[in-house]
Amino acid sequence: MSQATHFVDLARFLGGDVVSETVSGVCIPAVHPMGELSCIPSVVDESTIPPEFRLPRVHSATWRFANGAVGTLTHGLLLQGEAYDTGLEVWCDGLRIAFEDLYDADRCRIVVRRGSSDEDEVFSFEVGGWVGS
Amino acid sequence: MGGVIKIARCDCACGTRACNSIGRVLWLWQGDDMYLTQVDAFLSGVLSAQEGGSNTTGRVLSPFDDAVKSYLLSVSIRDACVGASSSE
Repeated sequence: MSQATHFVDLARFLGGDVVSETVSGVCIPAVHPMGELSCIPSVVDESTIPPEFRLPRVHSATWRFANGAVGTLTHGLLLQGEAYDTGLEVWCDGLRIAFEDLYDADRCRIVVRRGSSDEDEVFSFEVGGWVGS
Repeated sequence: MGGVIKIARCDCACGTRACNSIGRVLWLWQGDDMYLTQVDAFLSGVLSAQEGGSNTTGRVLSPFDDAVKSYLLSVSIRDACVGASSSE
């Protein structure tokens, strides 16, 4: 949650208030067999953290915005490199906008598909990612 | 316009860095709940000040004015996910 809150913030910025009673989700707890990771950064000694405080490996949640739209969030601690893999997608009637790699200054881009076209329009940026890290 | 679906996806690989939106603190080293305890204390102060009519400008750390709502939604999401899984 400590990373994904940026994207919750963005979802609210785009979609407005959320009906909190509609929030539901599931996760893979750290102590579940599916939550066993083959690689954890060496600076972290998870054995020193009580099991109940260890971070779940995956969260998946859905909710309804007050305007009737539907939101979803998926968050994981699965990749083993150092770079974030982030994205935010907006799906509308005849429009899909994908914001890709918002933290990555080199790979940050927007991909748009609209109308009856099956082709993606790609917009890149010369300077920086969208979300400073 | 028809129904709108918004998807936010985040697969963070860091394990060594904390999110800057609320504070670069603790996280995996000391556990998420301890992190949340500190953030909850901070935000409780902000909310109390707001309810008391005090100006909280500068005390909210997100770029958006309603960062507190976003944080509380984040907590709701986390609680929903963890709660559902712990009852299995």
